[in-house]
This record gives sequence, C-alpha cells and structure tokens, in this order.
Amino acid sequence: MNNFDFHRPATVQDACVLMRQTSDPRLIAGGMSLLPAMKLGFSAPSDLIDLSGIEGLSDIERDDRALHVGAMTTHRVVSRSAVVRAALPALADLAEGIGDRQVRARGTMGGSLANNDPAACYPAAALALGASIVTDRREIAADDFFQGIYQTALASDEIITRVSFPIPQAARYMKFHQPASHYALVGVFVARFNHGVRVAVTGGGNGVFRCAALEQALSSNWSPDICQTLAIDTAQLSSDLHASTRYRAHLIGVLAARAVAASA
Amino acid sequence: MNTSPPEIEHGRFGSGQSVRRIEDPALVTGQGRFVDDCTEPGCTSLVLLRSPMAHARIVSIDASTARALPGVLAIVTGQDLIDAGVGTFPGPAPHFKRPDGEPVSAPPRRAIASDCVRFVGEAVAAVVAETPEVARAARDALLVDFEELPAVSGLDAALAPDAPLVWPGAPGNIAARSSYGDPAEVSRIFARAPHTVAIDVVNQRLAPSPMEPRAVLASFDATSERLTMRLSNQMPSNTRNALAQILGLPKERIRVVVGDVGGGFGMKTNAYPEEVVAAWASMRLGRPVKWVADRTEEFLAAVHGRSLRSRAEVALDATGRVLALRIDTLADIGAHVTPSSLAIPLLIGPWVSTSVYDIAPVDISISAVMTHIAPLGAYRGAGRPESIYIIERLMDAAARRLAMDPAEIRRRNLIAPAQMPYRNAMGQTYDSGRFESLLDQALARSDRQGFDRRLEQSRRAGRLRGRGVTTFLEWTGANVFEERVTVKVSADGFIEIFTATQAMGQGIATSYAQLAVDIFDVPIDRVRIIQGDTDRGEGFGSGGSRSLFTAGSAVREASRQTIEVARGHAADALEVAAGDLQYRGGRFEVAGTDLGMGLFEVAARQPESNLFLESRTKVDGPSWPNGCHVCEVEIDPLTGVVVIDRYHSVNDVGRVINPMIVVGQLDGGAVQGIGQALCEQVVYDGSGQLLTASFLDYAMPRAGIVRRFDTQLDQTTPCLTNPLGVKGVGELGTIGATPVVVSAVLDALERAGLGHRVDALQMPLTSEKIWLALQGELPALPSGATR
Amino acid sequence: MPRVSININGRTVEREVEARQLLVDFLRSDLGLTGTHVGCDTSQCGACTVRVDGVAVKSCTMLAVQADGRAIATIEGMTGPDGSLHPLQQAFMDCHGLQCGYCTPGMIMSSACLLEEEPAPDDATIEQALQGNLCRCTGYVNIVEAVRVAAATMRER
Repeated sequence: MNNFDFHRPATVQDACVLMRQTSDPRLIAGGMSLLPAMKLGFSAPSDLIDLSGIEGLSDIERDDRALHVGAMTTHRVVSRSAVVRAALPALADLAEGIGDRQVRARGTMGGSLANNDPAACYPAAALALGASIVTDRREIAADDFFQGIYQTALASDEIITRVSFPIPQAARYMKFHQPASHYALVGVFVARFNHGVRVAVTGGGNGVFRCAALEQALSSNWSPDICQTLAIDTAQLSSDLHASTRYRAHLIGVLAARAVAASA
Repeated sequence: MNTSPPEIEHGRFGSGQSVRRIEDPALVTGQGRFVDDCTEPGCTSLVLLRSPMAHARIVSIDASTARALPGVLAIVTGQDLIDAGVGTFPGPAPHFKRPDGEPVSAPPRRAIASDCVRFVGEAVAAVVAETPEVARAARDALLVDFEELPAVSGLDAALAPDAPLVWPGAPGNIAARSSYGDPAEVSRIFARAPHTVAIDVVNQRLAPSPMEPRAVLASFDATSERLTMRLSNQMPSNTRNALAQILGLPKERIRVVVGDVGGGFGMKTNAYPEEVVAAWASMRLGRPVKWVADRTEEFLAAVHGRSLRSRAEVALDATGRVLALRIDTLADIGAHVTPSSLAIPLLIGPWVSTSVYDIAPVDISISAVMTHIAPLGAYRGAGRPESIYIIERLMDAAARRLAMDPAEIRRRNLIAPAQMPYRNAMGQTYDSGRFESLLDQALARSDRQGFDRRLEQSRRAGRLRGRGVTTFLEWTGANVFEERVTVKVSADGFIEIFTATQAMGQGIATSYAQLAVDIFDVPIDRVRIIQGDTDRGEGFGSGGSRSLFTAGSAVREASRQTIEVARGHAADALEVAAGDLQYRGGRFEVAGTDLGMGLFEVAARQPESNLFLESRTKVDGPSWPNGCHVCEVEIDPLTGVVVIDRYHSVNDVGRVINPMIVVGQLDGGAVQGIGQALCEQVVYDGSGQLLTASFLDYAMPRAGIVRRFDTQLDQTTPCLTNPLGVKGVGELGTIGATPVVVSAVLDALERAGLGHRVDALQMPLTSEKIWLALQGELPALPSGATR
Repeated sequence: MPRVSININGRTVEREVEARQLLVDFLRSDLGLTGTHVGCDTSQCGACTVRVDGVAVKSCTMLAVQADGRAIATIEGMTGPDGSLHPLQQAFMDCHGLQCGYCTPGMIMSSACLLEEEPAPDDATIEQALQGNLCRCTGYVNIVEAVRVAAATMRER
C-alpha cells in the first residue's frame, strides 16, 4: 500500500483537528475493513488517524432506557460483557457472530457503523433498535444515519464516540453466512418495543433497511409463523454470485421467524 | 484401526506403526523453510503486471514513469524476453489430434505475453526493484495500451457458430479430441437395451488453493555461471528441465532447491512463467530475485482443476447390469494448450471411466475446448475424480430408474476378485482389488440398518436425511515406475537417504524413514531423508500418488543392498564369512559369540568414513487403490443447508506403512472432495472476468465441515506390482468424497419427493440450489434418451 | 519514520518502521521470525495469526505501528528456551494435526488464545474458534482433536 502519516491522538478533539488539517485522512479503529481496502489499493489515504489512543471510548454502561457502548469497543468485548448480556443479549450474540475470533478481537462497533458495509451485522442492530449514534458534535438517529452502501450521515471529519441502544422487550439477530466470506448473506434483527416492532435487514446488497412488511406483521402478532407467510419485497435486494434476490427474500422470512422464536 | 489417537509404541518405529512424523518438530516450532522464509544478500523483488482483459492485443507499453522510480532495476516485457532468446513453454504431446485429424496446435506460451493476452491475469510485463513496495509502485505506473478483442467464456459461447477464436490452430475452439471404444457397437447395444439412462454431469472448475502461495527465489552466480532456483514445487527435476529448455541453458547450469512446500495438490507440478522471469532477471542483474504470489494471483494465474461437462449414458439390462457406457465430454481447458491440460481430461481421466465395474463396451470421447480463461492443470486426482464422479452419478441415476438400491446396483456390476488381473475397457490392467468386500464392510460399519430410524428422527426434527454410497478406484503412479535413491551411512551415526520425490505435507519423509528402520533396525532419529535438490539427483518428483510405492520400494531395496555391502566389509574386517554374520539392532554379529561390528563402525573404517550406495528400483506398474465411502447428510429444507452427519469409508491402499499418515491423507483429501461437492467453484463472467478471485468469494471448507470420519484401512489386498505391496493414497479420499456427498444429497431430495429429477442437479450443491430444487425448480434432464 | 517499541515473545525490541508496514511483515522481515505466514490478501486464512496482549489477531491486518507498546506472542515463543514444546505443539504432532505445516503456526496461536479462555472446550467450541484459520491439507478433524488433547494436558498441569 501507499505510505502515509500515522497519528495517534489522545483526545477526540485532537482527532478532529487532524481530520481537518491533513489532506486525505482516514480514521482507523480496528482496521478490519480499512486495512484490507488499503492492501488491495481501494483506499490510499495520506494520513491515518488512530482512535485507539483516546481514553473513554470503550466504556459500556446502561441506564433504565438504554445501553450505551463506546465506539471503540471491540466485538469481542461486547460479546463477553456482563452488562451487555444482561441488558441486550441479542447484541452480545450478534457481536459473537461477526467474522471470526481474530476479527472480533480488533473490529469495533464504531468502525463497523461508520463503514456501513452492506453485509455488516451492526447496522442491522442499530437500525432495528432505533439506536442513537453519538458523535463528537451531535446525536444521529439510526433512521437517519444509514444512507446507502458505505454511505452514512457522518461528515467527513465527524467521529462516532458512542452508540446508545434503547433496550427492547425482546430482540434477536439471525444471520445466514455467505459461505466464502462469512459476512451476512442476509441478517435479520428483530426488536419488540412497547410502541411496536422494528425489523432491520442487512446483506440484501443495497445497504441495511427496515422491512415494513415484517414490522407490521410482527407488531400485531409477535410470532415466528407469521414471518414465513409474508412476501418480502425484493426491490431492496440485489443478487450476486452467492444468492439471488428470491433466495435472499426467502431467507429473510426464515431468519425473522427464527429470530422471533429465539428472542430474549 | 480406528480414528482415535494412535498409540505410539515407543521403540517400534518400523513400517506399520503410526510413528510421529519427523517433519513435524520444525513445523510446529515455526522453523519451517518455505521459499518466502528465505532470502539472500542483495535480494531484489519481482512483481508482475497482469492483463485486466480476457483477450487483447498489446499495442504498446510505456515504462518511462516506472523506470524512473528510484529503486527500479528492470522493466521486462514479452518482447525483451524474445529478443534475449527466451523460448516458449513445452507444448502438448503431438499424439493428441484435432477433430480434423491434424496434430494439436497450441498458441505459443511465453513467460510474458508479447503480442496478445488470452486470459485475465496473463502476465503482460514485469518489474524488478529493490523492494516489493517499489516494484509494486512501478508496476502501477506502467501504461499499457491494449486493443481489446472479443473474448469467449463458457463452453456454449466457445462452441457457438462464429464464436471468436482463441487460437486459429483450434478451429471452432476445439484444440484436440480423443475417442475411445466402439461407437457403432455401443449404439447397437443402446438400441437393444431394456433400459438406458442419460444425464448431464458437470465437474466444475476448481482452484487448488494450497495455503502457501507459489514463490520463487532465483539466484544467479556469475562465477560458476549457475542458476539456483528455490521453488515451492512438487517436481524439481522436471521443472528444472523445463526451465532449462525455455531459458536455453544446459540443464547442469540450473539447480532447483525445494525446502518446505505449503501444499501442492498438483498445482505445483509444472513450471510457471514467474519462475522463468525471475531466473532471467537474476541472470541479467546478477542479483537474487524473489517473487511471491499473492492469493489473487493464485486465483488468476495458477492452474485450475477439473472443468468438464459431460453427457453420460449407460445401457442396462433388467437386472441392473451395465451393458454399455457412452460419455461425451467437453473440457474447458482455458486459453492455453499445455501437456497436462490435454493429458488429464483426454487421456488419464478416461483410463478409469469404468472404475470398479465390469463394463466392456464403451464409447468415450473428450473434446478440449479453448476459452479465454486461465489454463487447466493438475489438481488432486487430476482426471480420475472427474471420471469417477461421472460413473457414480450414472450408477445412482440408474438405480433410481430401476428402483434399485444404489448399493445393490453397484454390487451387481463390481469386478470380482477372480477376474484379477483385470484389463478394463480402456486397456488398463488392475492388479488386485476386492471391491465387494469393501462394499460389505462399509455398509456394515455405517449401520445401514439404522438409516430408517435416523431418517425418522431427522424428519421429526424438521430435517431431510439422505445417504450416499460410492465404490471406486483410482490409477496412481504417473506411469513413471523407476526411482533412484542414494544411501550414505556415516561414521557419525547417521543414515542419510536421498530421493527425488518431493515432500509437500504428505508425510513421505517419515514413511521412508520407517522403511529404512525396517532394514537398518536403528532408532528413527538416526535416519535423515533428503529431498528437494536437483544437484543430489534427478527423478520425476511427486504427483499421481506415486511417491511411496515407487521411491519407498527403492528405499527398501537400497537399504537392503547397503546392509549387504556393509556385511561384506564387516566380514572382511572380522575375518569371517559374510554368511556367518547376522544383522540386528545396528550390529553385525556372529551368532553365539561376542564377535561383531556396528554398522557405523563399518562406515568409519571406509576410506571416506562412510558407506555410499546408489540404487535404482523399478516397480512393475501402477497401483490401483480403491474404496467404498458411505455418507449421510441432513438438509434443512427451509434454507437448503447441508450438514454431513456420518461419513464412513473402507479403503484398500494395500499395505500401510504409517496408518496415521494414511488416514490423514484420506480424511484431508475427503474434505477437499466435499468442498467440490458443496461449495467450491471458479466462476468467470461472460467476458472472461474472474468473479472468484479471493477467499471472500471462493468458498473453502472450514473447521467443522465434518465432525468425525470413520476411516478404515483394509490391508488384505496388497499391491502385486511393487515389493512393498503399497497402493498410493494421496488422492483417494478426494476422489471418493465428491460423489458420495452428492449421492447423499440427491438421495435426501429424492426422498423429499423430487424423484429422479434430482439427477439433473450439478455441483456445487449450494444451499440455494437445494432450496430451489425443493421448490420444484431444477434443471431439465436430457430429453428422450432415458427409458 | 515512526519508532515502535514492541515486546516480542518476552523481549522488547525497538525499531523504526514505515507507517504502512504490516505487523506480519515486521515480524518476518525485520525480526526474522518467519514462523508466522501469509496465505491470502483478504484477511481470511489466518496463517498470520499471532497473539497481541494475549489475544489472537491476524497480523496481516494490523500495522506494526499499531503494535507499539504491546506484547506480541508468535509461534517461536511457544517453544521453551530449553527447546521444550508447549502442549499444543506436542498435541499437534501426536494427533497428526499438521501436514504441510503452513497453517499450523496460526492454528496453534489461535488455539492457545482459546485455551486460555476456555480450558475445557468441546468440539463445537473449538471448531467455532478456528473459523478464522483455513487448512487445505488436514480436513480439520485432527486439528480439533489436537486442541482437545492439549486442553486436557494443560488442565492436568
């Protein structure tokens, strides 16, 4: 890969300043998406700004309403956190299923959300739970955050510091592996709140989206059976080497049913 | 023996024991010596620029920017190599003919393309620089002007009328065609037969994917004018000879050295363009040149395997006896015609078309079709997996048509022991085999009786279940039956044995050491096996599961001869008759006395303090390992996901030198075969772009794909054509696993109500394919030809 | 050029590195620790697995500068100073858990991390833990067995 300048700022503010002052910077969190892209020549930043030196970005806390996870928390830590297990076990299970053990040791929640890979798992959790993505300058609702493949509402120098997940009554994530990469061929996160059900789908190919048909059906009847009788709209799905839109649509129903059945 | 951890009998290190491997201590401590672990002073870095187009004329290459980068030492084009007199790669054997009867014609295959490129990934230019980073930057700065030409990808596109030609010497894009048997006789039999079955069978293209990518370290020494090539390669001598021919050098000026090889599987049997470029650059620059493939390059430019589509038919009588076999195969060999890309599909694979079955009338034809994709080569089994898969699919389809038990229809057709030696319809002679016995053993071990109970359990759990059975054999030896071995017994207490076969993980060093221990009766740590150096000796190398029965026989014979020579020396020294000396535990002794001399003492007394012996041994023919594999799968009908639930095999590999190693070959090979059945496939799009260029898209088997194997070795049928009685095992597991897993999946789907329509399903049996089948969507069967 | 201070197998080394240098390349080229291998370019195969502060990571997907101040354990560090083998190394040999040996260092480092966290893993747990380590030779069954055997040995100690 091309060479670059490497910075490890001590504060978020310092990181923002570096983002503004360097010519073509990228933030690096775990590097599980950025480094492979740089190795293959898809990304060639002038500067890398490493967030791992900033204190206070890996805390996990909960209150009555929500679970708050620091943006630099690794998937490994999320999956093993007693706080997460107690408050939102579906999130811990999701984290446990990302990539493989080595990837989970480095990959971070903030990195995953900021990258918004169309087959990543965390976007489905954030969108289904109606999370709040907290940055250095504002809070962005999940419904506004994800804007397409690798596209988010973040400004070019904006840094996620924390993600707040409202705690649902019940939730679960089910993922079907793409057999080569083990990314989500499709992944479905279902979450039941007092006010209704939210369902987010990743892996469809066009970026994470909420599935209205499943939300409506599950809001009136939180049961696995209903999921597989629905016709899932294939408009937001695409086909590739590994699956057709039809198969993806079918799997969404299957995974939603299994998620509801296993929800906690 | 079973598959629990083998009991290591301390003090017993001879053959027949599951001795721990002598290769392992270095490997488990990270002290392996793979090519990229090695370097030399002044080592430079070679990087290749590869074509992004499947078919294009190279109009011009502008290297001005690249050349100017600090640290760039050379930019090499195809024309540079031609001007320097570097020749072409060996072409195919001229006995292969085109459909019009003319000898096969092949496009010149150069290390770097000069006039046009014929597949995505073909080398277009090369850069040598001080470091890999500079070399890559310079490569990225090369400006190549291509004139894109029409490309063909896929058999149907290549054979369509007016399809763009890959090579004018291959009219209609058919480079060669081979036929065997008696088409007229077979037609008559088909016309009369009570039953005929026709299916299409696809052996999809695969990427061998050893975990160590290819690499070369070329080092030219100006003083001696010798080129030392450190390679990751299975056939050092053959590769040395090919490189010498291409580079226009006498063979003696090239030394190929091979250390540890991180998997070969056939992909590393041939010389490659990068080796030619590295060698030439080293000679030009007078400095060592290292090239290491990245994984994408392996997918693009290392040889692929399999890649056939066949229309396969059997004619049967009412009892299920096969009366005749007819197979018409199209092999998609890619953009170049090479010795192995023809021999494997057109010659070697067909040799086992009738497998373990007593089938005489055959009509077998294979056309080698050219397309603008990467060339074919050897991949674990090299032709035999393809043929075995075809006949096994036919057997299962026939069983369905006749409503027969798939095990029973096979039994009816198996060659009986009384028919040995058996000359098959392709002129190959099997020396031994008790195929029905293996079938019975495998059926018993797999608890066939319990299947219905398990089927019901699966059903209650909401899953489908199916079982598959395959009986099969394979050809081993590469038709090279002689091996040369040297033995040196030194005063310092070591026995050093050199062989030109090549380790790549298959455990032959340990096996040879065990054979030496049988004769020398010393602890195994006294034995050193040396391989991988053409200066030490020449030989065919390793491929076709040949090493143990050819070189192993030579090791045994050379060891015996060495003992006899040593006995003579000891007798002289002790002033007794040689016949009075017994040898045991490393020592020659006169029985009943304390008169004796140790083997190493005998060595010490020789002029050079060692005993040295060179010996050649020739075995009488190929070996024909065979087996019966049985498998049960469960399928989740909601997703189509297949889980392998039970896998039993009984295998005849003749006499077993190291059971642990042999079972490891069978089980490791089986997982590769399962990969073909369920998930692996090289995919090009219609314009010849490779879609599966990394492990992100090429699905490799991972841990847990099989929880447990039950792998039995039946040693009652030693090979009759080599003194060890060994049959080559390296590829056998792969060959059996692919058809048996497919058989089980199709059985499950048949039981789910799809009937004989399952015979139209093709590998890889992905979850989507299976789910679609359960929705009633399957490919069509060939029309009309089945009754 | 950035300067890093890294503890490698118990010994601190200080080097100047280019920012873009991968940890695996630093280990192999700068330190001559060639036991850690490169098998792919998309962070799939795991042949490059080492332990960073005890946790298994793919060293091909980490920069040397990111390892500054950390403790790295490689396969070379598994062998005792007197040449004695770690139970995992011994078990891989005893159970025929390696053939060509190219994936083996990565397998052993991944397994070492697993066993420190789960001293008595069942087969499914071991298989799960090794999803990031590809092997083309063994078919995995003996590798899983080797980890199980090593776990038992380590529990006895």
